[in-house]
Amino acid sequence: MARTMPAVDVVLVGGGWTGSVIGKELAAAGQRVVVLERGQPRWTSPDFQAPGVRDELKYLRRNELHQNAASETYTFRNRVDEVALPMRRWQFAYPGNHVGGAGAHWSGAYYRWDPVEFKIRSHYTKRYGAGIFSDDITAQDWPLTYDELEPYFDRFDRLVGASGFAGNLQGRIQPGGNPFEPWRSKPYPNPPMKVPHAPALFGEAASKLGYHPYIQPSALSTRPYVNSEGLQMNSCVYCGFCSNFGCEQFAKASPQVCVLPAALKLPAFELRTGAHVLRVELDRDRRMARGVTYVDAAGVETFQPAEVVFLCTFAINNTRLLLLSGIGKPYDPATGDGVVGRNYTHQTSSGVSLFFDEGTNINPFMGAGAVAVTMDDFCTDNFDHGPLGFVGGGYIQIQVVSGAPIGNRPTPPGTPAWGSAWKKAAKRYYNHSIPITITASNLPVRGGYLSLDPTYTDAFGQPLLRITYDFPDNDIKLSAFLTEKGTEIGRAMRGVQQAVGAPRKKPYGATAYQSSHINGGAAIGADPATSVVNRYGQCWDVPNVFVTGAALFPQNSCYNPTGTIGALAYWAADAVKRDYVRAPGRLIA
Amino acid sequence: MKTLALVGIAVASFSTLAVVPDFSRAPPRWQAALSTASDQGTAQAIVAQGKGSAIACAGCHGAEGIPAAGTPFPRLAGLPPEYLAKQLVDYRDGARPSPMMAPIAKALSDAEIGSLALYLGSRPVPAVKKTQAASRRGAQLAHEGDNALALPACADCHGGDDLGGGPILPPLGAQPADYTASQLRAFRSGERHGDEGAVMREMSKRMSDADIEAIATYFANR
Repeated sequence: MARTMPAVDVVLVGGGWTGSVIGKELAAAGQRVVVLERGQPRWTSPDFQAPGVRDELKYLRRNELHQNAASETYTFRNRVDEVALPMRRWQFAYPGNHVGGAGAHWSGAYYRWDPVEFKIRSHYTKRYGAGIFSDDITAQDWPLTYDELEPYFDRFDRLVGASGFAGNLQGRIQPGGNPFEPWRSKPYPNPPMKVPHAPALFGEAASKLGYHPYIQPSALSTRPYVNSEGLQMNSCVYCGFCSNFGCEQFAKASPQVCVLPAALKLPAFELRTGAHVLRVELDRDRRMARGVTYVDAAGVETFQPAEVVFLCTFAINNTRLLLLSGIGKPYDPATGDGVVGRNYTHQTSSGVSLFFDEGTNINPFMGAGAVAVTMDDFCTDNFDHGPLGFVGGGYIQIQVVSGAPIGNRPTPPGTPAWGSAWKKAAKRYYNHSIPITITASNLPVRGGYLSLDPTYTDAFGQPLLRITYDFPDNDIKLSAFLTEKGTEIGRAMRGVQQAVGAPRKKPYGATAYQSSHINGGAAIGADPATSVVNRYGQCWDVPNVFVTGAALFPQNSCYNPTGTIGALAYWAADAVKRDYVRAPGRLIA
Repeated sequence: MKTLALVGIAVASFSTLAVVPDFSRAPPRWQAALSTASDQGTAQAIVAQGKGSAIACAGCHGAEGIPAAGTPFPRLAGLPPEYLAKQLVDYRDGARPSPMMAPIAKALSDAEIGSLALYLGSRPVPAVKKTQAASRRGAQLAHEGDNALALPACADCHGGDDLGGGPILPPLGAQPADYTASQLRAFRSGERHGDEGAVMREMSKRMSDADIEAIATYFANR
């Protein structure tokens, strides 16, 4: 018999970005809120302080801030006629765990999605004809536009202390910025980051080739900043420990830096750690949720009654909770019926390895997760797709993320994988190599989806989430095109002796890192036949359950997700405060 | 074809507006001082006898860069030459205002600044006589920070074993407590403003007088 906790107005599952932001907003509006976080408390001081936090083995190789794959992982296959097997360790992405979630260990790359991304199907169809989409692709328009989200992007900018130089201020292109940037109502709250040597060389070459390089926006504060919650952020010191680490400096925007200290001052807000949610409990006719059941840190099964449930777990884990709770009809790839699990995507990432002469010092350890010079000339529909025959695009950049010694051992092709020749090359190239990285959009396909695995279970005995996906030819063509462009830029850079492009190839795999941007399964949409939630993230079938985050993405943009996820969180919180509380249990119109 | 023409116009308008960006950074001025450093003899002479209106370093900082006990002057021995050169340039340019040091720095050429920095940086670090037990607060701020104040640990940048954190991030140990406290107060008031990104100015604003004393005492005994 499960223990029952005192009822609350709103329970949020997951203490990352969306749970923290929405929880704080609703608690400030007078709702009694509890955020259930399966992991442990993690605060900048003392948890993320040096020297302990600068431990690549602990944080990256042993997944200190990642989901524990020994207790919960995903199974993986490319096609429905294959048997999926569980990922035993994280390689393809790093799902988050503990307070702050992936918002504690992210890189801080901070973009807004382009307006075209929100109307992908209609935009490309109008410009190039319906034939530009091959039949297997299930990309679909969002039920809301960039313009509607803009005020919420701006709000999230001020929460995270975004740094950058506006390229498009209220429709006016700003010299020195990114001319392809979506319009913004206000400048970034903080100036752009300092540029290390390698990105500067990239920018120089890209400019000479006629492209429009700019300094990547970031959620790493570039100066002392008091954010919209009155919380202090410090200047980034470019220590190089962003990606997969907690930030020691209070400089990288994270829920525990930017929201939670303010939320925890509200009497109506509670953050409960060690609470692993098993499912959403529905009433008898399965039309409304009653609350959630979780296992607490002592292993006691506990029921948390609530009037409203928000699913705020890491990306596609929200889709798993929907499936485990019986919310919405699961997608069937054979018939195309059902919606939950549909529209799974990742990121079509690729790279160009650059090897420099010994006079060009890269100093890869002097950087930050989001310090880069980037170009958007080949993003979204900024270039003519007509002759190319594919949809989508990607940004090309050099970022100096980390020179961490275990993972960062670049050697040119042909170098033996071990022995004295490898050692010699590893030494020769450690400070004279860096990749051009290419981050491209990724489209969903009919045969790609998320479902409950029929065989494998987690530590609590519940089915694991099964990923079935392979890239459409569209994305393989896109990657080949972008990687060739990147290779041309690499060859034009000063000091480069060798530029080796590696476009993304089929099959999609579980053993190579391709960003932690895994998306979909709870697509946002205007039509319940092709989406799980409405434009506010509200479940069509169970209107007091809301879904947040990248699970909502009907397809993936070339841009990193967090800016759009943050804007959507404020957008949903506003709709609940404004409309839902007046007519609880109804779909917001 | 119509869409193609439109794209062409859009790209052209970007090109006319675009300023060809230069992403490279100008090297800091102290780098020029270090790269023009001359010989050790020059430095030794200035340390011992001064130069023109620049009085001898040894008068306050000791002949070997180690000030006499009980004085509020910083030890210079063993500090990174890059840091020392940057401080002299900052004194000269006003980023670190000081009625005592500004005239001295202004009397020195880049090459002399570089030579002094290299010479004093090469002097051995003095052994510390521990005079006072470290306070818990001092140790906390040094090695753990303070979450509520958004203060990271001093050691994050200045080094866990007091080895310093890099060329312009000085070690804090073996400095007179009065000196360290006076500098934290100077950062706090904004008077000393040579810190990149206002890192020290901002953090010191969140330190109480008692915190500043705790940090200064902690490092003086390291």
